[in-house]
Amino acid sequence: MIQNISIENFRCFDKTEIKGFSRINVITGKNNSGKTCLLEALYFGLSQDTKGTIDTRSYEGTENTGYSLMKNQDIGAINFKFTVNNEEFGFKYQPEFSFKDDKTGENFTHNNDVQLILDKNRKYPQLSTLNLNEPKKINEKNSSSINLVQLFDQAQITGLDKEILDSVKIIDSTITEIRTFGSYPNTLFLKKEGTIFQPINYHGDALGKVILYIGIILNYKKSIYNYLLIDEIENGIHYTAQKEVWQMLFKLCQHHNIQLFATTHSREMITAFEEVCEEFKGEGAYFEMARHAKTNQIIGIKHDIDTLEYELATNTPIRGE
Amino acid sequence: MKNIILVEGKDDKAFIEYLIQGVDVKEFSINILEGLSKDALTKRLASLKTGFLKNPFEKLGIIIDQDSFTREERLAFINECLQESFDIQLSDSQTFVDLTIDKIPLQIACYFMNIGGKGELETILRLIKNHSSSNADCLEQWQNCLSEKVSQKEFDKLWVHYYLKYDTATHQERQHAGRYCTLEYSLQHKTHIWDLDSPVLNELKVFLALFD
Repeated sequence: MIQNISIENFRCFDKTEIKGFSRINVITGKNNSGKTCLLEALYFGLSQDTKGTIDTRSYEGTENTGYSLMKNQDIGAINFKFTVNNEEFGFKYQPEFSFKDDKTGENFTHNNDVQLILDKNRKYPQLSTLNLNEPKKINEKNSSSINLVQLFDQAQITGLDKEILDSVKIIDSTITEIRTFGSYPNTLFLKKEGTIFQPINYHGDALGKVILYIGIILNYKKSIYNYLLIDEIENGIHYTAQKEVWQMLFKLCQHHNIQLFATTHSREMITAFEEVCEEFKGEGAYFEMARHAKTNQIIGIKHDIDTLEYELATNTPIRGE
Repeated sequence: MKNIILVEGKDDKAFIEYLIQGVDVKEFSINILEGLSKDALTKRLASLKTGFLKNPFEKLGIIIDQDSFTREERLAFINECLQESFDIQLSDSQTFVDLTIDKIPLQIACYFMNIGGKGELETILRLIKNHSSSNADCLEQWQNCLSEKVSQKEFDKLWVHYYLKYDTATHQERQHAGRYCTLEYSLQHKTHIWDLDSPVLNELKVFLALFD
């Protein structure tokens, strides 16, 4: 599990060090405060997926080399330091040499399973490090969304589809069944009490999101640490379901040994998170991205969960204000 | 950078806001604790420390009632909260302690509202009343009728309430007592009912002047 990270010369970061991550980490802050950049930095550092990271922000006509990931191209390198399970390691990325270990100078590969889910307005990186049973099928897809049908099928093959149904019931308790039909290979169908099967896109965004999260979690490899990075996690999830969604994520991430990093703007989502942290002591951490008043560097301020509870109760600004 | 003054309640805020106008101080913000307890003060201080690097302040003043505690007991209470949050302790009230957080300097001090080593804001207000208080004073006789006396703290609060509602407000103001019979309103529109130049306030004004 990642405890600390230091990022230098990546995207909007000059030099930023954030300490004290836990299993479930919520990251907030104003627009352009570095929340999504932090997820991208984690993704890049953990996966060493240069193309996928570049693709999150590239569009036609922009530079799409490794240099585009740098804050200052003159420096010529991006530096990372991670503390994982009390062990610190550092490495740098240079477009000419790819990743090099700080100590040995050898090529650096880390082999983590990591999935970054960005807000739907952004592109998704390739699933290059998602270790599914049939990874090629997923990797070959070049669409802007992850194939829910394949995630559901994988869960069904391994007998874990009930966990997906239980999770979907948090959002809509009237859903009784999820399945796929051979005649519609790209569509997941849901059945509500007293109705016929309907395609998932007839329902709200939240159902698709929950199936996506759970599907990814259930498809990770067992017994090693995996990482799930979700941008704007609250989108589409009604506030009455947010607490249960967090409970589900805490339970599943604990069970499947996953470390989750999620950004949000929503005070309701933060309140629900804080309440669930009370049930899962020591498993949640809350970070506020802001600028250091003196140096103007991006900082990640960790709020103690007890203090966060007080701050929410007293309407103290906690989202980068 | 602005200064922050932490007080117990909205009456304390209104009173300090008024007094600070007469003192040459920097931009300041008065934060309300909404009730004093070790938990509330420690968490508020922890919150101020957590947000310090994004919203730093130069000086932090903590103003609480002395109540029936000794000065040493009150200081020990503040120090317990400061130790848990900022990892520092004050040597005395009305004296700044210096610290630095990530190269940004900060000073913290405290003050205890008191008259002669005990009491609270309302004790001060009773002493600086500047208008007939015939109605509020009747509470002394009311108290004599009670089989169990109310505490001095409760009595003083009640006295100020009666003074604002029955001695210094018009009939019309009393109809909307929540708006017009408050300390805040009196300090904005009826300052003549208080002797705000009273020497009783000198010590507090000297403390506030430290936030220059």
